[in-house]
Amino acid sequence: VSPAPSPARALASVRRHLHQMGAGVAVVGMLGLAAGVFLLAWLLVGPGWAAGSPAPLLLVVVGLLLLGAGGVLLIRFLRRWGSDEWLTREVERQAGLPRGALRAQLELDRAPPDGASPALIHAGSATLLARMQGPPARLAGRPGQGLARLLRTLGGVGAVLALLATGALILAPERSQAAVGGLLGPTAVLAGPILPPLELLGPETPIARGDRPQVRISAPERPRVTLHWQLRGEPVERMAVVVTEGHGAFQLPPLDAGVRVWATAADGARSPELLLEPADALLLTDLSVELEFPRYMNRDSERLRGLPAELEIPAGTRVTLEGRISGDGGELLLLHEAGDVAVRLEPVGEGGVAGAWQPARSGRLSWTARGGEVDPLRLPPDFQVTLVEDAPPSVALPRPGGDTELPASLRLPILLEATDDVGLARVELWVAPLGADGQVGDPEVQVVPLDGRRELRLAPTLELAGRMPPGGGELLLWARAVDVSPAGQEAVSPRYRLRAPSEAAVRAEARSRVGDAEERVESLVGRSGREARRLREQAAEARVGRSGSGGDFQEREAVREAARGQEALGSEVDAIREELAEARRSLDSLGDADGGLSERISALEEILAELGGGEEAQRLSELMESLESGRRMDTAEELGRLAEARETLQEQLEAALERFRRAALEESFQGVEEDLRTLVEQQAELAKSLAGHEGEPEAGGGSPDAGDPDAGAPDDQAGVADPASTQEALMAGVDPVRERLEELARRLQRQGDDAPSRAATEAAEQLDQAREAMERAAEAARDGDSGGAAGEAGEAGEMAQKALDEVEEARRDWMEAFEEALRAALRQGAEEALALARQQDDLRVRMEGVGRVERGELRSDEAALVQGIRNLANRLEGVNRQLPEVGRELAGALGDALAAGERTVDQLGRSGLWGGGRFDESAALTAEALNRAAILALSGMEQVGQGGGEGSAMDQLMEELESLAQGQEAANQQAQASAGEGAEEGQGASSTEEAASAQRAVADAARSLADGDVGEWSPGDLDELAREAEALAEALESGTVDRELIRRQEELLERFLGAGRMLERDGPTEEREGTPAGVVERPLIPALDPELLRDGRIAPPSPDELRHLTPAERRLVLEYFEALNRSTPPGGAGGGGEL
Amino acid sequence: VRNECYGIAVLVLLVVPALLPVSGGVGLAAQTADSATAEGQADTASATPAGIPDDLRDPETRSQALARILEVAESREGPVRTLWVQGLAVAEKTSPEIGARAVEALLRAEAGDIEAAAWALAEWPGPDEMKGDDRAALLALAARLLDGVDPEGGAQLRERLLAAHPAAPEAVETRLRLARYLAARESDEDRSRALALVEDLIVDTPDHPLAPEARRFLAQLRRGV
Repeated sequence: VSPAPSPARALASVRRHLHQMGAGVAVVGMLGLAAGVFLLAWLLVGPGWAAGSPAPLLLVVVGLLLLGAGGVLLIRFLRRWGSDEWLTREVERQAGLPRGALRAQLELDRAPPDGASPALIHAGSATLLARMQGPPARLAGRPGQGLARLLRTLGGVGAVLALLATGALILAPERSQAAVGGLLGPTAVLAGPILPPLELLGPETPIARGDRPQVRISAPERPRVTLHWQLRGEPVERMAVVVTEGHGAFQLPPLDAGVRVWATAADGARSPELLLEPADALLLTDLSVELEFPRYMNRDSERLRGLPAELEIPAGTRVTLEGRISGDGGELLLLHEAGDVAVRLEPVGEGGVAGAWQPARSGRLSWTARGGEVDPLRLPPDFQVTLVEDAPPSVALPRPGGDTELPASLRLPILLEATDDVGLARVELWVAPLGADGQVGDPEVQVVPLDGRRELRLAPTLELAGRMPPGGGELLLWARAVDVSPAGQEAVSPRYRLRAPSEAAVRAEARSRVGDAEERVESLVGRSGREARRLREQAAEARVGRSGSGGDFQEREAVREAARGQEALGSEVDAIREELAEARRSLDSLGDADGGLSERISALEEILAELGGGEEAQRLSELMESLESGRRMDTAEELGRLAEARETLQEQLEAALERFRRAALEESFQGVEEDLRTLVEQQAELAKSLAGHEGEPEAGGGSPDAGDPDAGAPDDQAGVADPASTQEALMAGVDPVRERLEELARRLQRQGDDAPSRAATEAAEQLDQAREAMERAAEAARDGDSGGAAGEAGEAGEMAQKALDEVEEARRDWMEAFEEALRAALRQGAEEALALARQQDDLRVRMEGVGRVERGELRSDEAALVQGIRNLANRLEGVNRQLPEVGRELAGALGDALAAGERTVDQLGRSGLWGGGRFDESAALTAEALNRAAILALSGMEQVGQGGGEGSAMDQLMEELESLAQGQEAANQQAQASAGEGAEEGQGASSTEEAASAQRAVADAARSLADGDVGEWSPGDLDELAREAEALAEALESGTVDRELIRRQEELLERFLGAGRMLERDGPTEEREGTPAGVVERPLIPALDPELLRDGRIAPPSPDELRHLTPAERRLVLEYFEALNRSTPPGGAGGGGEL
Repeated sequence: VRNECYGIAVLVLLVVPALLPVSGGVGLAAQTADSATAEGQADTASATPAGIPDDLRDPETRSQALARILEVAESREGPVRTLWVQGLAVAEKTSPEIGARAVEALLRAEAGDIEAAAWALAEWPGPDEMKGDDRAALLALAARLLDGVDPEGGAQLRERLLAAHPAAPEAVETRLRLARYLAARESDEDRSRALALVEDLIVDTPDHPLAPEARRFLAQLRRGV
């Protein structure tokens, strides 16, 4: 509950108002005073309070006095105006009350007299209150107004001062800090140490005009000073100088006129001023030196301002001096130490002189003037010229850095480093075969042109596959660097021997590449599938939004991206193929020791080579051209086409993947078997050796390389080396084999071949046991227990043999399962083809004499049959993937059946006039093709497991018959020629002999074939053919060449061809027909076009010719031609081919 | 279905005269090995078909015998060639004795004794260890031989095949052929059975090359054609 209003309360509120105003005045006044004092201090402080300065103390004292005085005045003011007397009087005046009315009422309220009516007192108060309405500020009257004015004034002044103080704080925070620091501790400033004075020292010698004099500063106990200088007529400049141990130095700018220099420090110290005046002008001013380096350095000329005390330049550099001469100095010369003239400066233009020379030797040069009175001081100082001769280059091969064994990939990473002080012209990398007899063969060189680069650091990988010399030689590798000097200085690195890797390592590497290729193809399959789906979606979207205007930008970009993706996939396939090719080339260097691995890899390469090439590559190239040229296109259609191409590629990749998976597994099996076999043999040898040495003293010696399958002969190891070390070395080779076994088991598991996978795992466990036995054997050998060691080594060998048996059995099981699956697929394919053939037979029977009405039914039945053929083709796709030799022929037969079936459907659909009588023929062809497919499937079953690549006896027979036919054809031609049909005069006898010889060769070959084991597959009577060939040979040998003989020869040729055709499963081929020999024209070979010899450059293929290639292939072709042209300079004999 | 029956009838007309020993100028009789050799159609003078079964039984000459079956097949034309290729398939996938029996049946059929050859093949008990699939192959060949002369007998053999060897490779075609035979009969029960057989075929082997034809036949059956 608020107390009731009364005049006393109203008066109290007016008093409170006055007090509040007074407090405000006090606060604002104090703030303004503080800002003012700060500003004064800021103005006075300079770089810092000078030690002993009383200024901060004075400022503080003055500030405090002002504050005190103001406070006293304010308090007195408030006291006076706060008393009841003055305040009631002012309120009465402001409220228009009679003088004393308020005070009287206050008295009545405080102490009402006896008998006074409270009601009347209250009424009086109410009346007064009614007159005292309004805010306290109004009732405060003059004191209130005075305080308000004072507050406004102080506020304004204070605000200005505060703004200024803030500005000062921002502009010079360090100065502000120094100012405040002094104010907060004025006595510290007053009582601070007085630092030694600053001193400046100028140069002792006269300063030549244009020189840059150095000024030294002595500023003890100061970290830095500010140096000020003012050139005459120019503004003051300053620079902070760091003082170290009381001293600093500064080099003034070139002096053209007098300069005033002084220094100041943060403590307010200021040095005396130093006045420096330059001496008289030099005789030679604005001197500049231009250096023209020898041309071979290919370095731009340089210009130096002023003349340095020492000039270090490459030998052969031409020096040009230019300057301005002041006054008459006569002739200016530059002299060698011996006194001979180096250069004479000739007048150039108005007041200019110049002279140039090519220093021939190093030495000190001095200036002299002839023909004039010149103060030596006015001459430039002497200077030193030092000529730097061009040093020879250096070249090294830090990697390999010594003789080394090549990795199995025959790819050797090297590091080639070459440097030269001036520049390198080229660096050459040389590789030469080093035969087993120590003969160095023709080297191959790769040149790296450098065009003056001073340094080269290359880390290429040398592809050495196919470069190893036959017969187990080595390669020599070295580098040569030639610099750009006219003399062509050179350096040659040490020659390093590169030994061929072991055969096992090469095979292991090649197998590893096959595994890698499988993984990469698998990855490509996934990627291609995803992209094909995305492209389909994009094509569908583009089709929905098709505007018919040629597609918008985004769609074109989508096409571009898709085309690039397609190209990238192609490049990836090429890269995989190239990796395999490298592995194959490495294997080829082994000769027959690769166990057919090279051929198997070659087959995988062929699979990859068939992917995405041909028309698709050309179409892609055309599409890219269209995109580049901005030609209009139907983007939806292009996207659809690209999606289709991607799907096709994916299907091809999936088919290839099957082969790669199988190949990778097969190689894994073979690799593991090979390793295990080596291990078993070496372990057996060791055991045998240990058993033989039982009881003998232990032999010492080194240990062979751990884990190296080719590490020395076991005899050597066991018989000569320490058996324990030998055993440990063999033991170290177990783990890698075990890892490969586990990897093989994982692969088999992944492909669902559980039984072989389990067998591989068991083999790994056997190997573990072998390893444990090896450990025991090694321990026994170390203990000198040869008998125990022999036993344990033998046991280890047995365990390893068991592991090998397990793996071999697993491989057999795996192969058999695979082959059985293939055979089952082929058997089923044969059954189904036969079922379709029977169906076609039935339909064909129904076609006999069929009327037009029934043709529709037949057509539908035939269409269903055609669909059935398609189904069959799809079902046999797996065979095509796994057994392409059979699959291709099967696909061909089914393709024939499909084509004939479709033709039948088509002809059944035509009217009688156009299609009558033909459909039964095509139906017969369909049935025949289906029968052929069935036969192929059945014969394919026999081929499964025969290695695929090896031809059957029938294939061999076919090849031999073909060869016989070719030989007979050649013999026929020679007989024709000897008969005078095309032979020249005088050549008849020799031609007859040649014909007889050729016919005899055919006869011998035919006889050999007929007598050989050709089995019951032999078509026709080979013996009779041989007899006829022999008869013809005899006739020719006797010199008989007539038309009858030639006819018989042609007949024999036809019979050879016919016999070959009979063996072909897919029937006779039309193009293989024997033709009588005609006249053979022998045109003269014209001389080469001189234009071809004029320029050594060989033109690369045109863009049109390159269009059908993939981008990667295009790049290879262009790089090849580039390298070709680089290595055959016109008229020059190259030092060797490119690497 | 009527068309099918018509077709089978024509097949009978074509195949039976061909199999008969009477030389009718056309058909199988003109395509016997001897006549074919005489006409120079095949260079298989040494390939006397009669010796093939014995050669098949002899492991040493088995491969040559198989080659001679192929030669004989290539010397024939039309449905007869298909029959010989079927014989080759049987000989390839079964034991020597079974293959020999199949070829003997074909030779006997070529000689004109088709029914006897087919039934002899079908009723041959075979060795104890004879596999189900081998039996199915013989039954299918016998049924095929009977198609031209004794469709009912062929159907019986197919029923037997399906009952005893429903999972044999020949079972799919057997279903379709039996269904066609049953559909040609007037009985509703037979038609229902035919329907079930074709439906089974389509459901069990939707990708089989005969599935399209089976679907078409099923549609015909449902339309009551």
